[in-house]
Amino acid sequence: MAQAPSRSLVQNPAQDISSSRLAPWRARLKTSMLGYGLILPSLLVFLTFFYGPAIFLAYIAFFHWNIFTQASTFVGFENFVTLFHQPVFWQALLNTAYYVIVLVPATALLALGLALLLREGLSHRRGGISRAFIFLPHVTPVVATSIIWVWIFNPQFGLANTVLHFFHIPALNWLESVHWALPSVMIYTLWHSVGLYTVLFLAGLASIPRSVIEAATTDGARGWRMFKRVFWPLLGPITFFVLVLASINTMQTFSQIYTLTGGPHGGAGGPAFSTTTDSLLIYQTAFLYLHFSLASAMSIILFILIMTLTLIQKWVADRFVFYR
Amino acid sequence: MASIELRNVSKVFGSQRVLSPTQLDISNGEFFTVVGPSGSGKSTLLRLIAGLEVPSTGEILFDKERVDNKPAYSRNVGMVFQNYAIYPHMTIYQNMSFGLESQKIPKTQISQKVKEIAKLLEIDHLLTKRPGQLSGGQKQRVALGRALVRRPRVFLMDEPLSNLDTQLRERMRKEIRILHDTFQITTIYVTHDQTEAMTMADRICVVDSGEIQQIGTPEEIYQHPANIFVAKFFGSPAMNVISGRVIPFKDTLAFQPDHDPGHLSPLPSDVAAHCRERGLDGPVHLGFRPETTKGQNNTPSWDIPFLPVTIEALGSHYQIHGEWSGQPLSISTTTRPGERKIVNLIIPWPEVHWFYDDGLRIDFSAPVRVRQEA
Repeated sequence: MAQAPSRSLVQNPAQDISSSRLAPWRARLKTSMLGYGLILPSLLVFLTFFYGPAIFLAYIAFFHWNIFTQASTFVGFENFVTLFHQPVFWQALLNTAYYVIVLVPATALLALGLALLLREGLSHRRGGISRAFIFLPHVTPVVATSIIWVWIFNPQFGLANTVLHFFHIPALNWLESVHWALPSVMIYTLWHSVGLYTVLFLAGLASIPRSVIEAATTDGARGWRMFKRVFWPLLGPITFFVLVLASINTMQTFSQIYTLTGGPHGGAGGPAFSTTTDSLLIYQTAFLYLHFSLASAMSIILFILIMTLTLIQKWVADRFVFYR
Repeated sequence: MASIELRNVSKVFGSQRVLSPTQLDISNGEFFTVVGPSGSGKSTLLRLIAGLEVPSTGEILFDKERVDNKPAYSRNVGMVFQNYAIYPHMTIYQNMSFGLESQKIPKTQISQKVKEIAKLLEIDHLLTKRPGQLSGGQKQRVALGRALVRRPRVFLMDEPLSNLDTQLRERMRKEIRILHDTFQITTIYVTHDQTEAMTMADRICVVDSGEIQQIGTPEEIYQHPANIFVAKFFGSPAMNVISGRVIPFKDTLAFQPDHDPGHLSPLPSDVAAHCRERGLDGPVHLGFRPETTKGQNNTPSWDIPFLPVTIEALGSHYQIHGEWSGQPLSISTTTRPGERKIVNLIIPWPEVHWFYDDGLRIDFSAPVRVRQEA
């Protein structure tokens, strides 16, 4: 008789089915309802303001779309074909490539170097102050500090030329020069973003067990050998993350280019389109010339480029990065 | 291989002194264990010798040659860490060859040395594997091999067996000792485990609160502990220590325990004579090891009424925890006493350890010294 209750479940399922089989399902439904309920508000915001426009953008890229009449005509790939025939589109792509190829490695290298310098001071109070100073630019508003850098880059009385003068280097025209305008933006962006990547690298360094570094030290490693054989491989995952993040961020750079090269007074992207990057061109095409369909097509191209670059980086990382 | 000498070495972190000025002489080829509770400064001592910390004062010498001003990478010490600290991104072979590569040794020679040591440690089948695929015991062997393959001047081990299970720990204890006997490399072995310290060492150094309490062979430490801390640290269960006073009693002296002042234990004449020689007539601590209690004894002995409370059967013997009028005591015997029934413990007076009020050992065999009153 002692086994009766457990046996009855198996032998007479009909009478128990409502409670025994459905109960766990109901409990699961209850918890999942709660879960979906909790994410619903942010999901709604996300759908409305992120995926909604993104899907709409993908839609109008294949139409002639007029913002005033809201009339749309399907044109297939015509917008893309139009883009490929515009020299300024290629110029913008080239500018973006130049900007990303120089800035991403430069930022990552500088951040890594700073992180290695600051590593010793990880536990020091003064180390904390240095870290704060390096991170500080990143928390300032881009538009505000860009305006300060417009003064710094002023060819007549700016700080940049004063520094060059101090080292007996001929003065530059910075933002007013076709050759130096984009590098000037790079310098600003480097200053503004290196703190973030330094902190990321510091976190990566902190995750390397101290005893592993000490073991390498007693094994006779130091300097370059220590970096190459211990720090660099163990920093692989964080380096990959920094490169992906920096690539995406630099490919989307807008505010500082807009502000540094002319901003609200017009002429952003100059001189002579030398600082017109993809995102700036998208903005101008859409909101200055009101060619929303063209801008959408451009956005899709930019999206595909970023996606491709990230996939390539992931492919490389999967082969060469060591994950613990 | 080297002898190690520490002269007046101390270490201060900020305002905290973790190691008081310390003298140490470790001879060439010795197996020297440093034992103490956590936070006692024993790891700091090891890290100072390795060069991972810089001493606040004093000098460290290997073979009479100063090394405290040399960085860690040039001291040629082999260190084994508690968490193994194997390079996680390298194969086992690369882990072991890493140190040799720093020494600019030809590749064929490196490969030969690595294989030789790997074979000795029975890890030669793991050389192409990565640390993630290894068990704790295997990782520990790799860590040992990595340090050993360089033939360091000094072998430093920081609680190397703490993360292993009991059986493996006992086996590795033996193997490390055998490795030491084979290679004769001066070894400093830090542990918090008194059994490890006792079983492996030529000499033991007991550390507490940044100060060396005693240095000696395992037998010396166990039989003649320098103070109550050392006495209680070694042996399991720990030594029973009872506080009380030496007072005049009839024509001799007696020990009066603080917790049971009515129970006077008259001292035999030779012990009383020693006490008189040293002018002992105040507070003292008396200690006895759990295994020194006897059922019957003809020599003069200290009789204690003992109430067993818990009895742990260990097969070969019993560990009995109980009390004497509220004072906890532990004994080990081969006979099982009745539970909750007071028995008479008989402790021969020569087995009793005497300590001054401040915890220092009273050595009746040593010549009389007048102690300065604090």
